[in-house]
Amino acid sequence: MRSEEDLIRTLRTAADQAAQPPAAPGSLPPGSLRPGSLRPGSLSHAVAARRRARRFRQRAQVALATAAVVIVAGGTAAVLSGGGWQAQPAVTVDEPTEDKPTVGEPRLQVRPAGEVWPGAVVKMPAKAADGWKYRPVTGISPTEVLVTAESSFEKAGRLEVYDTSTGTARVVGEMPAPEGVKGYFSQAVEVGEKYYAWYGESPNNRDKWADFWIMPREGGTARQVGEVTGDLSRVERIGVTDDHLVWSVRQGGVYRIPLAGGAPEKIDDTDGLHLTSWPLAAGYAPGKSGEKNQNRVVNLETGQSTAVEAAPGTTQLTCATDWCFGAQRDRTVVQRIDGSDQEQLPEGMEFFGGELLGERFALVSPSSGGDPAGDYIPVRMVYDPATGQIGGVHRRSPEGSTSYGFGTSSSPTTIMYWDEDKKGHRECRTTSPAGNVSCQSTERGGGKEFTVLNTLAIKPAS
Amino acid sequence: MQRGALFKRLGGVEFEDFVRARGPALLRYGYVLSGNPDDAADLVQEALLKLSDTWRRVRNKDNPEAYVRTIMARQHISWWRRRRREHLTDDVPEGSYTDRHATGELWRELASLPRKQRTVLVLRYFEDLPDQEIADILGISCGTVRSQAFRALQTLRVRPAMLERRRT
Repeated sequence: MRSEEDLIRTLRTAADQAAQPPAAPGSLPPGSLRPGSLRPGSLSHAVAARRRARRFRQRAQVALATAAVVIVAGGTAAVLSGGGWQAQPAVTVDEPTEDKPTVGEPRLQVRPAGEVWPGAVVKMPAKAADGWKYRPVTGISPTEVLVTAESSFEKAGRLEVYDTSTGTARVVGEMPAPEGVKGYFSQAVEVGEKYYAWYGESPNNRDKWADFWIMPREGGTARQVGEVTGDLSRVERIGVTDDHLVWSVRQGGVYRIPLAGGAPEKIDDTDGLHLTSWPLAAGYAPGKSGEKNQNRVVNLETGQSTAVEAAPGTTQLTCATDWCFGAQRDRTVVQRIDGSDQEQLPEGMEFFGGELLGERFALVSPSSGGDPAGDYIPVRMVYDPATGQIGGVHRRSPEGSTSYGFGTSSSPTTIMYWDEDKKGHRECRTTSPAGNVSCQSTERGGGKEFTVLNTLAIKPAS
Repeated sequence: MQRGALFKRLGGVEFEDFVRARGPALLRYGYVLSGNPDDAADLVQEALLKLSDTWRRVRNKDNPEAYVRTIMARQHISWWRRRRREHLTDDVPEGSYTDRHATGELWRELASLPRKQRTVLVLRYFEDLPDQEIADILGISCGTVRSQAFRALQTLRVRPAMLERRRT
């Protein structure tokens, strides 16, 4: 005989396996699933298609059936409050303002990211104990933010990890400048399995030169891996494996240098490729500068190349492992990397561009208008394609400018941050006898604390 | 279908959010109810379509998820009553079904149950609902729930003792 526990386990196991893609790794290209599999992303489309089909069926019957169910649900809900179903919708349901059909454009209601994803928005100090200013780099876990500490503006001198759960910082190590290089600035930091890595340049002189550094993740002394000159020094992004430092250059092409030292070499078949996050690199279709669409994503470890197709009218199509975002005029378009689940996001969500935050989230701009003094209007919005949730970043100041920052990591960062105490300030003065007025927006205050949105702390879609 | 248009019709972003947020869980539920991915998708889509019709009412008064799950359970029974679908729904989910707990075998045997019996088992053991609630959802008496469950457990050779006490 079997027990009831066996039955429970069977049902749960089946449910868990139901939503997973096929197990055999490498048997299908990334992003592809067997036909008919349970793909929540396409649900909205399917429901919409059903709605269209239904219009041609008998409306009266459907209306009756629906009404009958409403009554049942009413009865069910009363029982449910006793704690039957635990599942709650992950979104809060707003009260409607009125029960009539909406007239005109619906106003896009956005809540602050901290309300949409509690736990993913945290505070951290803007300065280290010795007064050096922090510059957030990226989240390395849901509760840890990698930061550089700067002795002066953009002069990174130290790598630290701030733990938001304990409110403590840990020094990983110093980021030294190489001897004899004037005007040296260390640039984007990359998080590898074993190492942190970064590159440095002397951006304010004409030397075509760059160098590369690594530091063990557990902390220790930074070590210079190598120096490059000429075209190879036009570093746009780096990656680090256990034995190589990898980088792509602005004109395209991916290179590597052994961590143990040695000569740089070009990785085969990487012409025109740009690293996104090791081992992934992207190629671009021809187009206007700043509007090009990615048209292939290549895994440089396996050599597998996935073609990406942009819908007509799309620009700036940018992909990560699973998702791509792009612009269609003033709208944002989302699709899976295999081209499925293509959708245009609602009006009032303009694609801001750039890479996918945490390789999943799109950055979009709210439409202008509205009254920042009365309503909550975010400076930017973060959109999660897996759940459709939207979180607002910071809030637009009624007075002058409002600033926010992205993590400065080499691979797409997982974080955005802002200073809530910094207030916009607008100063106007008459500049000519004719009465012309010139206004200048500045920010005042702040400098003590950052509010950080770490997308690593946003749970994956269930 | 562009999402903006869907928003407009439903008067807000919430329905879409709901589908996105709860879709995966609903699909899992549909899978356990029906036993195969195609019917699971069918069930969920039809139920969501109905939910969208009444969204403005349901979202305030009820738990929309409970509402959808109720529709799905009822639909699952009535569809098969009506349509008598031919194909057997005994697909084992792809992937590795080790028979450590004989779960694969039990899963296959679940497909042999009449729909109503299976639905009762799913509501009782997967959704963890008391019999009275199951009766309310399916519109049958509490006694019928018990007899359906009893027969199903007998077919599956499941000893009904252990969890019986806390169900009443």
